[in-house]
Amino acid sequence: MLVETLREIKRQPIFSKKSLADKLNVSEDMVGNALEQLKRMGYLEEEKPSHCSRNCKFCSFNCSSSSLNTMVITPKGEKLLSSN
Amino acid sequence: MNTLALVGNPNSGKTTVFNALTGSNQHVGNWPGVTVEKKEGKFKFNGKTYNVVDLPGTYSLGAFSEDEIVARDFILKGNPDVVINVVDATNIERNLYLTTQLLEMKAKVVVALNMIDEAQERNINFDIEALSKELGVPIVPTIASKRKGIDELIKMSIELIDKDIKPNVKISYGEDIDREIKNLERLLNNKNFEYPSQWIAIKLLEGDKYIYELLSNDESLNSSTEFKDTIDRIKDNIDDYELKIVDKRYEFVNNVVKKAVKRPKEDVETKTDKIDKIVTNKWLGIPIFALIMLLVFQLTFAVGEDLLGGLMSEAMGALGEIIKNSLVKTNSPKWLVSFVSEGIIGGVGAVLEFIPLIVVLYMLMGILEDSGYMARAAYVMDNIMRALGLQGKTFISMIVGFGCNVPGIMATRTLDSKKDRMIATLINPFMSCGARIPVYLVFIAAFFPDKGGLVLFLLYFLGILVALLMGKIFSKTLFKGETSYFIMELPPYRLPSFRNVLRNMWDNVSGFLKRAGTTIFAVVTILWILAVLPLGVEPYSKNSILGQIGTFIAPIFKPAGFGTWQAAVGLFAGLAAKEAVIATLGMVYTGVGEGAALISAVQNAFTPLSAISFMVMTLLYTPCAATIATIRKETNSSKWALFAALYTFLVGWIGAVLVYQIGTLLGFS
Ligand SMILES: Nc1nc2c(ncn2[C@@H]2O[C@H](COP(=O)(O)OP(=O)(O)OP(=O)(O)O)[C@@H](O)[C@H]2O)c(=O)[nH]1
Ligand SMILES: [Mg+2]
Repeated sequence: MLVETLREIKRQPIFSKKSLADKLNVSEDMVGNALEQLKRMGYLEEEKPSHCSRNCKFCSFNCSSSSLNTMVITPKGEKLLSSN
Repeated sequence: MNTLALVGNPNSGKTTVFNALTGSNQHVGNWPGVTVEKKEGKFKFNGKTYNVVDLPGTYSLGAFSEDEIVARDFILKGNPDVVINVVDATNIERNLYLTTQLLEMKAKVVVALNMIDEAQERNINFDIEALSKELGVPIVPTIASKRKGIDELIKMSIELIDKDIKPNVKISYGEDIDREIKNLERLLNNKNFEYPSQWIAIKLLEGDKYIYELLSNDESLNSSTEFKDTIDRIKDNIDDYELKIVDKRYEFVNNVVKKAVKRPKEDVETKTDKIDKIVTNKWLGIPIFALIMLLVFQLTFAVGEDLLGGLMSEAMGALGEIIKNSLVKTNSPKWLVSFVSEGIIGGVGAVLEFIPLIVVLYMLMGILEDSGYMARAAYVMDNIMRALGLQGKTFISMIVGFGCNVPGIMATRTLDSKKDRMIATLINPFMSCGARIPVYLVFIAAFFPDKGGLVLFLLYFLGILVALLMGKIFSKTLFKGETSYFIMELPPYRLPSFRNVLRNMWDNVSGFLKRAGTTIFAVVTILWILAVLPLGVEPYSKNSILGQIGTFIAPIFKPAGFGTWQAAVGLFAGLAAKEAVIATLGMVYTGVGEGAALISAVQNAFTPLSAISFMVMTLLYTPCAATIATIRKETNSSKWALFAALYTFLVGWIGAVLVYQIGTLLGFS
């Protein structure tokens, strides 16, 4: 289930919980759980917008920009995908 | 005395159950994490007194947080007679993940299937019998907040105390792991830890640091080479084991849910899907994005300029008068009056006049973002970006650049390949930042007062276009290589929260205000000094130092239609900060204290065509010093910073000249 989720994300990198749920034939809540676990175990990583590190003195830009958070599959995640 | 422990996810209703059981009044809150430490209470049933412990809410029983350790230690070491697992029925999968871990602990569990009222409201139905069979534990539906099902829960729990049954459901983790568990169990069995051997074995395979530490203190274990070898072997595969164990738990949960939970058929097509079908359509996506942006700018103008704009400029004008009059009245030196009224009020004031419009623009942008639309825009743009050999994530840094290019360039850090990152950095300055808006607005007010929204939109659009074009050129010439994909979740659409929108606006506007008080103020001061020197010269004239600098640069801009020394000085000052362009114009068109005067001065000095070419120049030419410094820092190269400064200037100049020359050829003026 976790590996499948990760693989599906790689296949459709811009996804919604619903599109993954439909694909994996589980509920959206389950997809949410899987994403959380994948992040917790370090297979998937959320990219904190780096300009939010508060070291930008000239400006301040919205860092709560929740709708635009991207992720990456970590090397650990890539390894998992290629070994499974 | 017998003890019952309450375990469950945060906010599942444990404390409410606790209060219902004991009649005590513990704090109940509608947000996760209210109960931080365990709370104890008592209740009487059939003449016997029972002890109840309310444990902190956790999603899991690993060693991830202090709460998890408190909860699991109590379950395993506190020897509760029965564990009441409070499960939030509206969020069943997540809650049952914890339940599976209680089963792993071989605890005597009763599940209180709580919030059943809310579940019913959402049409989530449970087959209690099937659920009980699949989990192998008794289930009691409850509505703790209305004390429904609590008596049943008490009865069920007390019955269980005396029964000598333990959960009999076995979760298989796959052959390898099951064998490893058996093996470890055998090694641990006669060692007398406070935890059950099987549970320790699972935790070892999950890489639980706390348990590893516990075992490392046990001498007899560590003297066994077999144990050491086993541990070494496990450690080599720890990631794999951990993943499989978590995975199997979910598989188990998924199975239980499939058998015992009936949810309303999820709409095959939700509202979000319906909207997405249109806004992310291959052909319609981009036109819709363009249309939405056009609407944003039209609305910005209608509200920010037509409705509120006048107020601010009147206020600035009035404030200017008052300050000037009071300075004159108190017999202040002439130079001070000139500095304050022409320099500060004419310059900084000219910038501040546009605050209302900027407020409105960033609120609308915030709405687009918070509603979830911006993510779709990024998705739509991703296709184009990739066709051009650019990384889709570049567009996200571009959106950030609409606020300010400095964070826009910092946002390129998330691009992993050096190629993608360099390109994204070099094209970010073409994104029209907030600081350029005052320049556009003055020229719009002077020449296109009723087409403001459209002009703004076209400028922003041109910025994106030029950025994409340059990106394409760079990816073909300077930096070749693979472009990678990017991962992003499209959240469901939601009503934007007022708070987020306000915050987004304030983040941008406060930066604007800060710059007005610092950079712009400093630039204006320096320029004012240059404008009144050498002593005896007529201030703000061609013969002042400033005038001479401007006259020297001006010829470059002749082909673009604005070869005046004032325009040249304005653009020059804009290198410090883009608002300085307008602050400078406000100052050098002497005596300008309020918007209307600046606008008529601009009307005299420019034509509609040269106004357009000047706006194009402002949009595209060399970004402000802060942006250049950021490029230098982020690329770690002065060479690239210099390159960025020069090539953008060239692009801006070519753009402005093209506009002016083609426009002239076509007969515009
Ligand atoms: N509708 C409904 N609401 C409930 C029910 N049980 C509890 N609540 C509400 O859910 C919210 C959370 O309840 P708590 O008892 O504080 O939850 P908790 O599990 O103790 O939370 P933590 O201590 O943070 O882990 C409160 O607002 C309760 O009033 C229920 O059966 N139905
Ligand atoms: Mg609580």
